[in-house]
Amino acid sequence: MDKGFLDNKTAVLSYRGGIISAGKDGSIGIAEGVSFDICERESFALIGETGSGKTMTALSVMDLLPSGVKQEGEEVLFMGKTIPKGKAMQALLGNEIVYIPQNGAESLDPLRTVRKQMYDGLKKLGTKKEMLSSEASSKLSLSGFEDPDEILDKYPFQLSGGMCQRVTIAIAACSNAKLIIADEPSNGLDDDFAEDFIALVRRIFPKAAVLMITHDISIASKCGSIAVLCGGKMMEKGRASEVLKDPCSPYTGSLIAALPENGMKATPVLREGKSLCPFYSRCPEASEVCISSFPWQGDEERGRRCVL
Amino acid sequence: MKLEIVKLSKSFGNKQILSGLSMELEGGRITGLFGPSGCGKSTVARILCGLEEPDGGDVLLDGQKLLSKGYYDRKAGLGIQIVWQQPHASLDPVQRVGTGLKELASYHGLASGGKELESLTDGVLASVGLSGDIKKHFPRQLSGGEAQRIALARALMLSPRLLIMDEATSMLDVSMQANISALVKEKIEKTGMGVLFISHDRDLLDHLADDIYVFKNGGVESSSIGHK
Repeated sequence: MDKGFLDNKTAVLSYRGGIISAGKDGSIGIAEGVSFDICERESFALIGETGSGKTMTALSVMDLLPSGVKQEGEEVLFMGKTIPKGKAMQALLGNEIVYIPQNGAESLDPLRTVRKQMYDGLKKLGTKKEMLSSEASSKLSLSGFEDPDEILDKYPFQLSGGMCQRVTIAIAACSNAKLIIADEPSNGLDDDFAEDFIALVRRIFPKAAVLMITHDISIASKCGSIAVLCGGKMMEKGRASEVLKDPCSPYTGSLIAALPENGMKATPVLREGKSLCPFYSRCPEASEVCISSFPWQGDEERGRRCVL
Repeated sequence: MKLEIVKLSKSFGNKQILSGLSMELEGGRITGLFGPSGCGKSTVARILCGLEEPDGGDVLLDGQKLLSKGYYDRKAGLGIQIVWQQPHASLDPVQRVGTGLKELASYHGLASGGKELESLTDGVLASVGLSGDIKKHFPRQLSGGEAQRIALARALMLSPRLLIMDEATSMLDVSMQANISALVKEKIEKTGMGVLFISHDRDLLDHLADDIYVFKNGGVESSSIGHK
């Protein structure tokens, strides 16, 4: 195996998110107590419903939280050191920390050819001028294009959604990525591409740690570990194979039951009232004890937040 | 409701997207359209809504001509409503949800104004599981699932005979996908409308659709009618 970035014990990303909130006095809770570690060559998925805090958690890693949203009490380490903010973070973005966005077509510059957009990244890497074209072709080829030279001079509008997403991956490959953050990278794309995505990322970035934000459980199942978020709270965490095969949180169970192959069971609102648990109103197993108790059961590696 | 598509064809430039497509859709059933990106699924939807003109062929709605090259019956076309893939792209970003719903209802003469409009919009929102409070929100303040429910409410407000859902749940998480699908099934039972469900997710169609057409190279490669 190639030599890695770090010793085996140090995580590429160690995330203890504290509290992310918005509104006056932080009255709107977005995420709280989300924590995970990702070592090199590992992939970690954050799954959950819309509005569960997945994307905000990812944005907080990159110091890209929208204005009006703040984070307190966080402890985030990148390569064993406190992750920088501001300009120091901007220097890392696109270089050691790479973001693959949700919509490839929208994230590319519509007025510039693929060639020009790829050259930007390659120049940052110090690629010599005479090597730019061949390097760009090689990255596109790695991303799955059979005829990369033809793609180089296309504009984004001349490519399909799947092709645009592959181009964003090729652009991401023009970096020294140690951490890849992919936000719903397969949204709206063909199943074949979604299935291939993790394998593709692994092929291009064999050593990098991958943080995958997704609501697609089939994508999450291909990651090593997952955390399940609901209403900004981490409901369950563990090895993906264990969590998805044998969920110990009712919320994870409801997500799995909602899959087409399991009969698409809906989760309607079952009861009124407030509880510490964000799934209380829809949880088929909830009882009065859930109103005031919402403990973490388990350890840092495998556990769930549920009183039942 | 019975919709008959007869030898429909459409090309963009040199690329033939649909070539002699024929299929039938019935009320009270979910008809699935499955196929890879670019196979013409969404083009069928756009033609049925009058957003694209076919190069040839006819579409009949309950035996009456709905469209052909150079012709679209706008009045009958109101009976066909569509919910798109991107919920936020379907809504005016600078218009509150309530204002948009009332504008739609007024334009189509569904309510005369004032209390009648409020009552109509509240009822439509309730039918998709949303409270009237959401009317004061802008689309950016809604989650994907909420925005898609609003888009669905707007479509249902016109009591369509055929509802087209073009990858309408592909951007949603699994539980919202299940909730929206359950809602659509409930509406079919209540109103007898037909649903054309376009998706590249075969598992989803296998579970949801009564009939499935598989598209390839501009036509129907295979179909399974009443497969459930």
